[in-house]
Amino acid sequence: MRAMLKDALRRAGGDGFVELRWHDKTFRSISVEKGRLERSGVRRRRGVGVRVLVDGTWGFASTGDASVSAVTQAIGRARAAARASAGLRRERIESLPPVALATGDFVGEGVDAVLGMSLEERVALAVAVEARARAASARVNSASGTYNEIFEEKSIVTSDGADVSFKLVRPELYVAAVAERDGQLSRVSESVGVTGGWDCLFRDAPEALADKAARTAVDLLDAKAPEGGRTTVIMAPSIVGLLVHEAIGHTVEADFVQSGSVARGKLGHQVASDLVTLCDSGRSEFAGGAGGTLPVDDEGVLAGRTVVIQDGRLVSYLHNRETASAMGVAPTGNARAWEYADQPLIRMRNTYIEPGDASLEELIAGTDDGYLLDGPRNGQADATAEFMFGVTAARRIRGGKLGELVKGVTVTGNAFEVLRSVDGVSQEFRWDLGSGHCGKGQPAKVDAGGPYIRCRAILGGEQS
Amino acid sequence: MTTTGFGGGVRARLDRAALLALCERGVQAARDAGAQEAEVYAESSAEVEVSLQKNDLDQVRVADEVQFGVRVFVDGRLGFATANDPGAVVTTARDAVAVAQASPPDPDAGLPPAVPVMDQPDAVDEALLQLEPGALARMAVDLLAWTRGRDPRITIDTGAVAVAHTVRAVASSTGVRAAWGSAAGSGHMFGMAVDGDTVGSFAYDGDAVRQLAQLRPKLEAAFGRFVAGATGALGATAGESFRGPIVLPPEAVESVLVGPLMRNLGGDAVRQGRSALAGRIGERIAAPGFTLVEGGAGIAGYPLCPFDREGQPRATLPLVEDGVLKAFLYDGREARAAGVRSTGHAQGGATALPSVGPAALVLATGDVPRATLERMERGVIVTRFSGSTDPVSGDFSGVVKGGFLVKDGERRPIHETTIAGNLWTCLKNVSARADTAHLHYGSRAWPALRVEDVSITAG
Repeated sequence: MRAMLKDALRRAGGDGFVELRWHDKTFRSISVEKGRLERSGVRRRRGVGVRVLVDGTWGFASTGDASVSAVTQAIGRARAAARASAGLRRERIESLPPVALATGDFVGEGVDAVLGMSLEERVALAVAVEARARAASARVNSASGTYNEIFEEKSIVTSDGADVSFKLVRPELYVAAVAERDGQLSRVSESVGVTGGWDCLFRDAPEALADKAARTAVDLLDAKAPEGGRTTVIMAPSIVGLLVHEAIGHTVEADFVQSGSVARGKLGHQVASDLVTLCDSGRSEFAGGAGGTLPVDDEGVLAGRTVVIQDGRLVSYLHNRETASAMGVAPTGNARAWEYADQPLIRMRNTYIEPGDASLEELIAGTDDGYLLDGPRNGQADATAEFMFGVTAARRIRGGKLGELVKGVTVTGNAFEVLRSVDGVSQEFRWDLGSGHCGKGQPAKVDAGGPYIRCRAILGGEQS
Repeated sequence: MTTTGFGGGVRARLDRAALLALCERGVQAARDAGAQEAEVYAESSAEVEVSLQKNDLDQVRVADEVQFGVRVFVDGRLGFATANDPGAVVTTARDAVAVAQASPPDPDAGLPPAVPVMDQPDAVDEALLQLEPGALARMAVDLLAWTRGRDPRITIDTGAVAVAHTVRAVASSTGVRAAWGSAAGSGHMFGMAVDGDTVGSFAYDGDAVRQLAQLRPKLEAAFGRFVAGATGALGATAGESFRGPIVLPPEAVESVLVGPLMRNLGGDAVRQGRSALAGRIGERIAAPGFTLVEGGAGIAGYPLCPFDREGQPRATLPLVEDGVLKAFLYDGREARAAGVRSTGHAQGGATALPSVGPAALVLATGDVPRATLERMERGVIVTRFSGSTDPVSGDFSGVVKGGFLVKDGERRPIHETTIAGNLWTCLKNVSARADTAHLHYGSRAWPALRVEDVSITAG
């Protein structure tokens, strides 16, 4: 495919920067509920995204026709689009920073293993996990199991030297259980999503995933809501991941920084406890299979590790080539596009806090009054770094011991204030946000995680 | 067949006849591959979008694409496959058959029968489609300046103004055959207000129209609301903890009340045991005066496709009348499972299987002026709600964004304030409805509501 892209580049002639990205994505989804197949399908979308820089302005066009003539025409449309708007852009992009762009072929782990599975085996997996959850307790009256899989191949060729192809596979498994007693219902889901093969996907046995969802759903039938207010919490890696992705990570995306995020002007400032080192990486650090892993971003920049907060100090933003040029730094490999018709945006990959020295047991034992929070239901964050996360399983801690489960918990606060309050970081590390998507105008597969951390935050609760 | 012309405006690559022909080729290919029943839904779309970022023009994007989805039943087994290459319709039909052959039987297998659909003319304003990219870019930059000119503290993170032309068609082995086209102009702004070191909460607003003449006025109105939302959130301080009333502006009505309610009104939720309203038709579930209607083929001024994702005719359907539950929504599959007729509520595009959902929703207005609605001894205005609701139990909790505490005749912005309650209780505690409704993106019309006795917690 790169030969075709280079041929189109030659035919279109030299007129400013041109970036061509062939993207062939296949998405499979199988969903089972209450013992019957609800959905099974395969979605294929492929084509070439063309981005040009003409007269200091971007233009973008796309075509689902991967012929040389169609791509050449798309280059012409993108250039015409750029010229149509060039006089209206205030901040012209004079040039992109020179950077060592990727060349060659990359193949992600697990591609052959996952693609080698039969469709029947994939269906059987969703059927089995749903049946397991439904059989786990007489209180479980409904369950669902879903297997999703993204397989994608990309080729990126730019007029300044990127010449790279890669392919990777991202399977994910999802199970939900609904427990019922006396008309009262509780619903809990568990999921895992990875970049890699079955060994990564099954780092926890599917049966364990189903059992955990069912057990928590049943236990929550007896749970009460918390009182609410500011309190000590120990966040599990799943909640830490949501915090560093939603509430910190988005504020350090350089395009948002330029728009005026709370992280603007804070480079070099102490923004968190000195126990906190926060990174974003295209690699799967500390543990395998992170869901946002990628070798190269969609501008052809190698996707390495970026330290965002070092020992509590903000040291870097996340960049594409344009923002890196504007701020005089190297691009960090964070430009990503969801499908061929989408333009690359600054997106996170795998975002995490580095592990510390404590153990989870020590953190719990050292907490006189607080909560252990695990399992995000949902999460959103604001321009102010104020966040809100729903928590599936929150346990009371009293006198250094774990107590009862509480339900309907939301945790909120200002993320930087929460990170400044961190007084304990565990050795345990886990990626735990690999299923689902991040949204920023277009979806992206990301992952996030880290150790357990102890900090102060606000719990939503009931007022009498 | 027509072609996309960048110089000749925005035009979908395939017209109604060409797209229907593609669907019929797919149906025949699926039958040839062994499907007893087959359906192809296709969309051909073209779009010019001017994006804004960092208070500046970002880029002009031009796109056109044909996407289609093939749904088949083979020996009572469901299969589905999609692609974006019309030349691949035969292989995609075979892929769908292969998926079906690997799947367990579906007890409700089968496509809906053909039902006559009123032949509606396309909703296409040629003036909108003839808008050149350069003119659209000038409009976007003008609107950016207009928006920032309302208040110097406004900063735009991202925004866009776009024009699109979409043609959709569906054909099936049961005789369904329908096609329709529409044009839309749309725009949105996303950003916040920054005052020195103080950064306010995110704000968002936008709208969509069918006529060029409406585009600029409707977007100015939307971006005016955006400015009010962004600047109103500045200077927020801690709220108070109490139980009391909340006011839901139109922008928050869907996230707090109607969205979770709708998750209980689909035939799929009833069949799967996920609806708390199953078997309760005729029961009171909300306060008197609470009337929610599915708007069928569109609300006045913004026509929608006259048929649903399965080619069934769309019609207006009262869901809740004066607080009493009246109906559930059904697509073909759920209707078959429930032993009723489809209500024409199969939703979705070409790349997903049809699923049950509303096309347009209207919540009846009341008789209370908005200012009176917000007059409370002590209460909170929930400008936006960032939280979650268990649609079955109805329990919800989350953060109030850009909200205000109203107390002793004054209102002030608050932060780090959460609300918690129960959907089913709140529906019965709706104590007032505003006398005007806001039409959002042409398909949702909500008045502001006041709801009594909600738990409010300050951080």
